[in-house]
Amino acid sequence: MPPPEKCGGVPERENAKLPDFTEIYETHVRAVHYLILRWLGGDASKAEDATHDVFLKAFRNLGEFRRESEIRTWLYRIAINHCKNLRSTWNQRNVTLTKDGEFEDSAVIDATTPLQVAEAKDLGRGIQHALDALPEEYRILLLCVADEEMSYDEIAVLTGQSSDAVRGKLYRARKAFAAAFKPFT
Amino acid sequence: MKQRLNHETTEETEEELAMAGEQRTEETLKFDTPEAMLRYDAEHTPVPPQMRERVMQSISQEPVKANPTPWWKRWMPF
Repeated sequence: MPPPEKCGGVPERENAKLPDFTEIYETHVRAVHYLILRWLGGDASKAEDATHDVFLKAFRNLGEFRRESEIRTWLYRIAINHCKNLRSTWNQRNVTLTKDGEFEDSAVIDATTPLQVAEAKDLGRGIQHALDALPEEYRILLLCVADEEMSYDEIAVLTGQSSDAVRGKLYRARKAFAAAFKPFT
Repeated sequence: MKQRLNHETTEETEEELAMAGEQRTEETLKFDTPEAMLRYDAEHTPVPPQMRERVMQSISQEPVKANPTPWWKRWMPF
């Protein structure tokens, strides 16, 4: 890659894009980082690297962002694709995270029963355990629905299905999460 | 005498409050839905403080894409 000076200089680009991008970063970094952290098994250093890479990709492709979707949805799409690629590479190398397994959806759990955890310090561990046990599709749904800025319609666009399908699957995702979280209650 | 009693009572109350505080930190957290639980967890999960500087530094090192010359200019440079 040529040094920046030979490409016309960085300051011009900074003037053109950086202020907007700084705002985008400040507004969305918390949500994007959390999604990535929970997606990558709760590994803080991997999540930091991946969040950095996702924002760098977003910066490089900002010119291609079309206002058809919200910025948050666009960033989530980049983050999800990036995490899928990482997990797939790790699985190929057999180095890490538990593979998404088949989930027993027949668990007798009432999705309306409140979830509780005895101590706050167990919360992160329990959440991670439950999310890791879920099929990818359920994990995306729950993480997106937990983000109050994401509407069902946006989640539908992100996951390539109808809003009704999102609502239907969300019920099963809640039930599956509750079953997987049960050992921590 | 009355003053000493008052002093003791105050000490006891402070002690009780401190104990109650400790108990509160180990209070059971209850959530109606998984997403409420995740929302709570997200709010209590900080972004690494060095992240902003790291991202901004990488961005400042990004090269500017040169504007591609239109095909007709390449064929007709005059």
